[in-house]
Amino acid sequence: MPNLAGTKKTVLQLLRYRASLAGILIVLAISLLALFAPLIAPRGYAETSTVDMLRPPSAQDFFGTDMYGRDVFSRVVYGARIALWVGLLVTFIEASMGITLGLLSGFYGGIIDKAISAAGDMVWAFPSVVLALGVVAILGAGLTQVVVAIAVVSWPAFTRILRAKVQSLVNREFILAAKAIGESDFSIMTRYLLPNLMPSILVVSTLTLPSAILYTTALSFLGFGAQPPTPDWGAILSEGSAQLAIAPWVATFPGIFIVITALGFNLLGDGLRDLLDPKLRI
Amino acid sequence: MGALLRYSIKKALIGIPVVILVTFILFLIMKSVPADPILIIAGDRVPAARILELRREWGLDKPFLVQYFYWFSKIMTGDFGYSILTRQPVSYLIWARLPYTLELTVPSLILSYVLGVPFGIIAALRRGSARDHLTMAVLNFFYSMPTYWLGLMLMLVFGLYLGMFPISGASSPSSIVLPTITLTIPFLAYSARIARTEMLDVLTEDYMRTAWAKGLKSRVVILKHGLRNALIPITVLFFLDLPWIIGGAVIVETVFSWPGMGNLLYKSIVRLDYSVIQAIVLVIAILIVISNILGDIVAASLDPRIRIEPEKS
Repeated sequence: MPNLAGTKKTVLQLLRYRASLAGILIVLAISLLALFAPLIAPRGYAETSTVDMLRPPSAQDFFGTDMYGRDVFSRVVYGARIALWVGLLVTFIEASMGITLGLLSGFYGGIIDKAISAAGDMVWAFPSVVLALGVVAILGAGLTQVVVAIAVVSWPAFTRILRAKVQSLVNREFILAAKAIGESDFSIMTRYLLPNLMPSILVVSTLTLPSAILYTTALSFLGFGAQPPTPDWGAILSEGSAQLAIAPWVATFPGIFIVITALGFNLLGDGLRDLLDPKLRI
Repeated sequence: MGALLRYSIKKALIGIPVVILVTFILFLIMKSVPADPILIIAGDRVPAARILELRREWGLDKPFLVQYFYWFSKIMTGDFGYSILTRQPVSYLIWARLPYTLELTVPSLILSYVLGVPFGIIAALRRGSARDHLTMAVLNFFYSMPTYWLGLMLMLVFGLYLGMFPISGASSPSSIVLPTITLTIPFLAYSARIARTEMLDVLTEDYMRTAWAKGLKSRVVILKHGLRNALIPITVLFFLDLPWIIGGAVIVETVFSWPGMGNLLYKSIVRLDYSVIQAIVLVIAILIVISNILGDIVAASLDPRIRIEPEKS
């Protein structure tokens, strides 16, 4: 049930927080960059040139060129598409798993809850990077595999938070009333519990996205993610790290964009949390 | 102390079946990997009959569980087999590198808590002030920074431009400086965030209101009633974070060519050196179980409720 007056109030309050405002602006700017990449980028992301190799940043090529003579600015601009796409995809998978498992676990309790929680604890205890590397070792390198790997290792965070939320709701009167009038379990979960989970889901999703971007770029940096000439920020950084001494700009600029993007989503997520669900632990 | 000792022993004993379970899952996963170790060793010019023979020699024709018990009894004696790549015993490779990883991760973990927690506490006490906002903004910035990029930038500025520290390897004593800073910064931001949340939580508790209402000095309220309670979950998280910092070490060690386990893991995954991967993952799992047990014990010693009350169902 969308509450327009409430929504307007939320947006206004959000704008009042300068940090959240900065977050919104960053997210907006990166989204526009991704959306209009072909218009903004002066050259194609894979366009090589034998005469323009390793040129430092200048008015002509803002971020310089890499060892193949490709324009780093254009590659970074196209990279925004990959970062956002992968971030959204991972977040979507994690949210779907988190919502489903969190609802089942919190609503039914008992053995279902025990099994889901135990599996989650086990995955959670393990360092995500190591686990994701393990998954990639089995599945092979590639952006799709990395998305799967990160979703496989990060779902417990989402699930835990939603499970706790469901547990705090499940004995409330409106749920008992729903049971009393004979609503089915499925109906209670989707029509009664889910709408009440929406604020938390929004907050957790916003904060999951930047960590998804950090993980994918990390795996791409290590060479397991996007393969050349894909302009993934982590992959550009990785190529640049080999020429750090002679062409530091190749590694510097994609990193700045990763930081700005992650920061934007983190600021926005923190702002949303303070407004919608201040007690949420994430 | 009787209750605490009993509790500690109980927790430590639970660790054993967990480790055994981990070895089983690990074996299961490694068996389901498509790569056939015999074909890797033998190559494709070896006749089929010889391959069958090799399989028998290595015990790979036995049923799954028999193979598992064979493997398990071997790793119990520290025998993880040989690296396909270097032909060295895996246990030797790990023992040579584990100290480097600990040398990097343990100081980072301690530094990030010692520096991060006060930041978080101060931000929480000054909630809503300019100082809180500034602290949180800086921490958020660190928190959003990819470790490998931070490492490269430190390398560039302090190694290549200023020439203050070596940029890779572990050949001189000052080699550890840049990797440690790189690993510490994101964890510092993380622990400060946690400390702020926990402290904010405690500040709104009823007993805090009571303490204020009694007219106690603000120093007593904050330090004795607030901080002491907030430090319990923060201390426990310190132990639970050990595995996370190992994950960070994989990236930092790779960036700085630091000869630790993380770097070895990275190289082994690139070259599909399964016996090494298996052993490292097991070592990490054991470290996690140990740090979890330590976390539980520390929590119980700080908070009597945990060791007296039975676990919540």
